[in-house]
Parts: sequence; structure tokens; C-alpha cells
Amino acid sequence: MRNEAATYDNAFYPDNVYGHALELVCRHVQAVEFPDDAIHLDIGCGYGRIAEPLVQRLGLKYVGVDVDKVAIDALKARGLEAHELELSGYSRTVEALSAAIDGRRVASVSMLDTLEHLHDGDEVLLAIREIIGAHKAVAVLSVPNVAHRDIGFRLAFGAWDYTSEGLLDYTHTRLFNASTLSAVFRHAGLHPIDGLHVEISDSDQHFPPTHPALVRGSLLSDFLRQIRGRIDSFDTTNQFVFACTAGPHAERMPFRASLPNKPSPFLSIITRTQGTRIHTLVEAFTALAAQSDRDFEVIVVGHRLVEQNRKAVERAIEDTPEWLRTRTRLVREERGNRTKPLNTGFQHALGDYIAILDDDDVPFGHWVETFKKLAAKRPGALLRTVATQQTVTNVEIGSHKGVRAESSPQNFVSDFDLFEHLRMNATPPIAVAFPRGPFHDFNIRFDESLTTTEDWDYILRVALLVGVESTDEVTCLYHWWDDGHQSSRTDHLQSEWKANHELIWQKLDRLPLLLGNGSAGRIRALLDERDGLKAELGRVSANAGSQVEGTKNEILPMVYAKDERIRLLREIASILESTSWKITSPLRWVAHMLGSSKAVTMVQCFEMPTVELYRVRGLLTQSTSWRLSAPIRKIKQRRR
Amino acid sequence: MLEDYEAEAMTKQNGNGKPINKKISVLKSISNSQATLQVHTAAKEADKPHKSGAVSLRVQSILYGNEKEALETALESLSRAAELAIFEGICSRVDVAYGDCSPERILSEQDAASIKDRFLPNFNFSYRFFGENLGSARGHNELGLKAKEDFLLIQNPDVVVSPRLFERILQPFEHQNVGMVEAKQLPIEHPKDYDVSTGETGWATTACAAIPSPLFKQIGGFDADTFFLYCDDVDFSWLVRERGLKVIFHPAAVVFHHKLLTKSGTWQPSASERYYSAEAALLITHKWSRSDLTKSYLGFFQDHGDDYQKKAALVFQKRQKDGRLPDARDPDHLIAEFDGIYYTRHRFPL
Repeated sequence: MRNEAATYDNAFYPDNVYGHALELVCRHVQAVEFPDDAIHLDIGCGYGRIAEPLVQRLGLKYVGVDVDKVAIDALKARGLEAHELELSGYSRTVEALSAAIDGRRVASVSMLDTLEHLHDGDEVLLAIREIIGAHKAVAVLSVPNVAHRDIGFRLAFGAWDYTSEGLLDYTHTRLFNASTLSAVFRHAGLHPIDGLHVEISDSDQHFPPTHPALVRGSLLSDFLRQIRGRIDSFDTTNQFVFACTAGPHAERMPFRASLPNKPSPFLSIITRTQGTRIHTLVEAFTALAAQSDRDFEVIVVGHRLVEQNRKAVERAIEDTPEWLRTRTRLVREERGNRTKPLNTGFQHALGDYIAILDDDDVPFGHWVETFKKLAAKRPGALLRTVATQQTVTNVEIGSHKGVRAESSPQNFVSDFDLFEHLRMNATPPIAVAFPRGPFHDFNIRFDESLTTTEDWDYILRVALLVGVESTDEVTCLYHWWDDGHQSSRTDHLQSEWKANHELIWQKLDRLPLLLGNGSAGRIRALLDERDGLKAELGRVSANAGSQVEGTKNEILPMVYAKDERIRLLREIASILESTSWKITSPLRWVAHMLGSSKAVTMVQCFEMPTVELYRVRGLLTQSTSWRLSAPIRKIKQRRR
Repeated sequence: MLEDYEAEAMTKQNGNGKPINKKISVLKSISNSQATLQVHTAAKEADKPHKSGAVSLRVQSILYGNEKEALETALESLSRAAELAIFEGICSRVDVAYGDCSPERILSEQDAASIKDRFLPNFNFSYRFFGENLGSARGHNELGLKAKEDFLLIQNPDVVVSPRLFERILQPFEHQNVGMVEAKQLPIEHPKDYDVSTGETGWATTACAAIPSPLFKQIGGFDADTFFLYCDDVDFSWLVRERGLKVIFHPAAVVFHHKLLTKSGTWQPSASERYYSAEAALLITHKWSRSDLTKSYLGFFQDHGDDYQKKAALVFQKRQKDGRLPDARDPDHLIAEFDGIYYTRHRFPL
């Protein structure tokens, strides 16, 4: 389509598309010796503002071709060789270009900001590939980037405006982003060997200047920019400028024939292992073999496996039942810290969701099934279940290593509280399943600069983007090693854990946050609680008189400790005064008869130190009568 | 069985139990004082290991209303374990026998034939529908007392075995004096204590346990006249130990036995579990000469128990009246160990 509104007679500047194209041509042509009459062929040359600088720098003869007679005449008037021709169809284009070349050696070819105007650009690219293949030349091609953030942010809110020229020139017949351009090149047999793209933060689509999604000071703009910015490095690319050579053609057409129809598993399970604790890996595999829902694949990421350990891991995989073995892959990762294998595993994952099952943890039989039920409730959200933690040690009996449980299982908190998670982690990685999108579509990776707590960082970044669907169902066992056994806990110094923790906080503070429904109420409640504590502090200060002023910093933790003590006392009182506790008193009478300790009273509790209150609460909640009366409480809760 | 732990928890009330310092070493002293025990003629059997070279193994389970899918999952893992055990020369053959106590048969003849075809040659499958609820003890006796294989692996039908289970669980039988070996259950391990260097323990759950067939027959199988659903394995373990043989827990012999935890990290027993565990507690304390405990439980069940416990007390008294209680044994309390609310020392409450 001819543009009646613009002439495209743009000047040459080192930092515009001409300057970048010339730089690329120079990089790849300068060192090559050509005959004196070698030419640079500029296809869709327009007014050919690259011509003089190119001739000056490379000494090549410039030959421009374009359909625009006015532009061709203008070139000729500047003493440059130019031919009027129309780019249409592979054979006609090859023929027309060959005529313009006229038997001379082609050193380089350029086609700048032209492809997007052509109605059969793929054919023209094939012709270019034919020319540069025959001449062993390099081609420099540029197109505007339709995925510039200005266009995307405007479109997300319903704005789409063509302009007389620029990113959305009204005569463009085809639009490109990095991946579509790559597919088009591959299909034509053009292989990028270098790129020098034109970057413009505020493009010609950056209007109106007050648009909340665009304007620099806007929170929304800040939020969108930080998401878009990490997806790829082309968010501010105005024009792609690539240097290509001729190579094989990709058979695949440069567009999607249909939506992907390859059935993907619901869940990809990533298991990191160094192959040093095969006995725990076998436990993990056995638990996977018992899953009530088999809609999963397993990607075992062998991290820095030495030969002996590699064989042991392969043996463990080979040992599993056939149905499990056929959906298990071993991927090796030889680099990085313990975070690296997670990125590697996630990269290989085909599932709609991705879960982490480290080689020393054990899922329950309904682990996958529970994730699937949660995903059905809220597709795309981060899925969170409850893990139970158990202290374990290694034992060896009959020359075989085994895992020995040493404590009662202790459940992690039942509810996922985002605000609590902003302070510290309460969710081991085995308890969550991540939706595929944040990693594969938004390029949200595990932070490999973190040597510990990388899972917490990732949980937060995903949760703050997609929200969380959680259940209080206990679905997995998180092992807590207590015998110096190698684990992330024993591998890293406390100071390292603290430093990583601080780093995550700093990262969070740099980001605008997207909070779910109900967050405002939660923040109000937190502020009310803070105000209450302040008031309490005031009362304590008043009572303590002049001494308080100098010891404020010591009193504040005391107030928090007091708050915790009150919470514990309330919790114990609610158990001791509950109906279910009262009606099970005969059970405790028998226990007493059998030699157990005497019953605790609230009066005793008031006199106990806080640490003792923790113990009492544990004893009460673990007691047989409290556990036996759980159904009664459940019924009462349902009635409420 | 795992449920026996629940039975203990059900019938006794102190979640933590009274700290008792008896360790597994007690068991060793028991072995050393066999002269004072009613040592059976089979004691000589203890002088030689039960296993040398490849052995034949019968895996047997009692079904009651199980889901077919769960059985299929279990069989697939058994098939791989059998294939590996035969390939490695651990087993000469593996048979899998199901006894069905359900009101209606779970597997049709066609289902059973299909399973048999599918898993040959790794194991030979047989299925027997009893037509009545014999209970797990009698059901296992029906299947196991006529077994021709060298070893029995008694397990719950929904147990999923690890690939090298047979190799691991049979290994202790290469040593002298071993009469029963128990696998470790995932995801939540049974809290019974065991010796960390030998694996020796007070009793073995039959969620998954291996027993030499001749020993099973010599003992006469489980005491099905006394125990219907629970404590049959506790009792059987003690009968094994009464013969001077050891009961071993092997943490590297791993099986998965699906269990759910409550929100507080504990197990919640079902109604039938509550009844049968109460009944079993009365019977096992009586049989193993702890009439003091029997009296305590009985009194509590009658005066303060729930409906299930009251019913269990009534049934026990009727048996007593009818003279249908088992003979009391182990009068010097050298075998049976009642540690607080447990049948042996536990490492942690659950």
C-alpha cells in the first residue's frame, strides 16, 4: 500500500535504524575482500539515506531498488544507482533483483522497514535468501516491533491507533514481535547472526501523555513495566535490526496453524537430586507410584551428578513401575547453585502446573489429586496445600540406609496468609503447585543469586501476580533432618540464610504489589492491632514512669511478647473451657489412673512462663481426648 | 497393622504415655533367657537362617470393599518388584493371592483372569471370594496356612511397594533367629521404637510384613478366634518372639500405605476402628496376662466409654461368661510389653 501521508525521507543518524543497519553491515562485511565492483543492494531503499555513509565507510557501490519512482529519481539525482521495481512473488523478485545486480558481486543486502509493507513478504525474504546464498553475502533487515510496551499497554486498555508512519504506520500489512520475526526468518532460511536494535523508551505510540498505563509516574505504569520488562528484552525495542546469513529453511509455516493440541499433563513434578541419597529418592518415587491421580510427569534434575551417582539415579528411575518410568525424565544440570536445577526443571516442564518434590520429601497419596481439585476451583492461581513437618535421621540396617522419623508430624499453618508470607515463609515448596504461565509466559525465574530461600522468593513473586487458592488439606511430608545429614539447612550458614532473607525483603520493597480481594480489610485490621499495641505501650510507659523513656526499645518486644502470651493463654483457655474438652474428662480420669500426669488448670497457666505455655498448648492439642473429640468440634463448626 | 497403633490410642488416654526406660535391649535379654520361657520345639529352627539363595514368595492380602483402581496401583508396583526380585535372583517365583471378605465380590472372574494374564510372568495371581467377612486374621489364615511358598508377605491390599522391597525385607532372614520382618510405611512412619543398628522391635504391623511360611504354620497363623480385625499382628509378633525369634523393622524396606492426617497432624479413627480396637485391647491384655490392664479398660469402657467401647466391654464379658477367652500366657511378662498406652515403646505420639 502506498503511503500518501508520509514520504519516509528520514535522515541518517548513527542511533536510528540507518545507523544501526550500517553498523551491522560494517561488522560483517568490512573484513571480507570483495572485487572492486562489489555492490551493496538496498531493497525498498526509499530515499536511500544510508547510501552515502555506506559508500564512504565500505567503498562498496550502492544499488537501490524501490517501487517509489519519486524516491528512485531522487537517488539518481544524488548520483547513486537506483532501479524502480516492484517486490512481488519469489521468482519475479529474484529475476528483478538479478537484473539490478547485473552480474556483479553482492557484498551485502539491506531491506529496512520494508517487510511490514509487503503483501507477500515471505516470498521476498525467500528471494533475498536466494541472492545472499548465491553471493555468500550478509543481509541486514529491520522491522518495527509491535510488542513495544507502549502499544501493548494502550491495547490492554482498548486503545489502538494507526499513525501516518512509525510503529503503527497505517500502510503496514503485517506486524512482528521478536518471536514471529524469528519464525518468519527461519521459514525463509535466514539465520540471524547479529542484532543491533533501535531502542526508544517513549515511542511514537506513547500518547496521550497522561494515559495511566503509559505515564512514567503512574503506579499502574510502573507495575506493567516491571512485568513486561522481565518477559523479554524487547519491551522498549522500536525496530528490530538483524544481520542474517542464508541457511536451511524451516518447514514449519511462520504462523500457528491451530492452538496447540498436544495433550499436556496436569502437573510436572520437578525433583532435584545430587544422587547422594538414593534411599530418600526411592521413598519419593514410591509415593509417586501410589498417587491416586496419575495426570503428571516427573522431571528429575540431576545436579552436578558424578558418574557413580548418575548411575544410581538412573537405576532408581529404571526400577519404578513401567507407567511411572515412562513419564519420568532425567535432565542433567552441571552448573549453578541449588536454585539452578529448579529453573532447568521448570524449563523442561510440559504441565499446566509445576510442583517441586525434592528427593527427600514424601507426598501423600492424594497430593496430585488435591492440586487438581484446587486448580479446578481457580485455574491459573498458585495452589497451596498444607505440609506436615517431621524430624528424621538416617539409619543403616543390614547395609541399607533408611530414614527414621524422630518426632510427631507438625503441620505448617493451615491458611495461606499472604501478609505473613511477606515477612517469612510458612510454606515448604512441596506444598505448592505453580501455574505454568508465570515461568513460561512471563519469564519469572527462580532467582539464582539466592543460595537459600529461593522457594519463598518464587512463591511470593508468583502469588503476588496470580493469587493463591489454598486448602487446609495435609498433602505432604516435609523432612527436617536432625543428624547433620546433607540438606539446605545444614549446607548453609545462618548468616547466609539471613542475608538471603534480607535480599528478598529488599526485592519486595522495590516492587508495586498487586493484592487480592479482602486485602484492604486485612491491612485495616493490622493497623488497628498496631494502634492497640501503641496504646498498650503508652499505658506501660505511664506505669513505668521515668525509667521507660530510656528503655523504649526493650519494652516494645516485651509488648509483643505479652501479646503472644495473651494469645497462648486464650488458646489454652478455649480448649479447657470447650464442651468437647469437658465431655472427654472421663478419658483423662482413666489416663490419670494409668499413671499420667495431673490435669493442668488455667490458674496454673497464669503463673507459667511463656515457654511453658507453648508446651502446655502442645500437650493439650496432642492429647488423645482432644483428638478424639475433634468430630464434635467439627460438627459445631459446621453448625456455625 | 497400622490400625493397631490407632487401637492403642483409642483405648488408652495418655497421648504421651508414661516414660518407660525399657529399651529394645529388653528384647535381647528376653532372647537370652529363653530357658525360662515356654520354648517351643521350633526353637531349633532359630539356629539356622530361614533364607539362603532364591526363595519362593507369596504376597497375600485380604480385601474388604477396596476400590479396583487402588488394587491395580498396588499390583503394578508389585509386578515391578517381583520382576526385579526374580531378575536379581532374590526370588525364584512370586505369587500374589487375594482373599475377598467383601459382601459382594470385588473382582469378577473375568477381572481376576485379566489380572492374571496381565502380570504374568512376574507373578502368578489368584483370587478367592470367601462369601463372608472372616476378618483379616482368619482370612490370612485361610490363604496362608496352606501356602507352598517359602515365605509369606502379608500386606494390606492398598499398599504400594517400593521396587526393591522383596530384596530388602527378605535380607534379615539371612541371619539367625529372625522370624518376622516389617516394612516401613510411608508417608507417616509407625512410631514404634526399634534398634537403630539391628532393626529389632517389639512387634510388627502386618500392613506389610514377611514371615517364613513354615513358621506361620507352626504358630497356626493368626489367633483368629480371638482377634477379628486388630491386634492379630501384635499377638502374632509376640508368639514369634516367644519362640526365641526376633521381629525386625527394616526402614529401607519401604511401602506406601495411604493415610490422611487431620488438620492437627493426627489420625482420626473411624467408628469400626474404635470398636474393634477397644475389643482387641481387652482381649490382648487378657491373653498376655495383664489382667490389671484388662480390668482398668473394662471399668473405664463400662463407666465412661462411648457406645463403641461400652459394646466392646459387653462382648468381652459375654466371652468371659461363655468361656471363650483365650488362655493367658507369658505370666512373667517376658514377651508382651505394654508401655503406657502402647504395645511397645513409641518414639513419639501420633
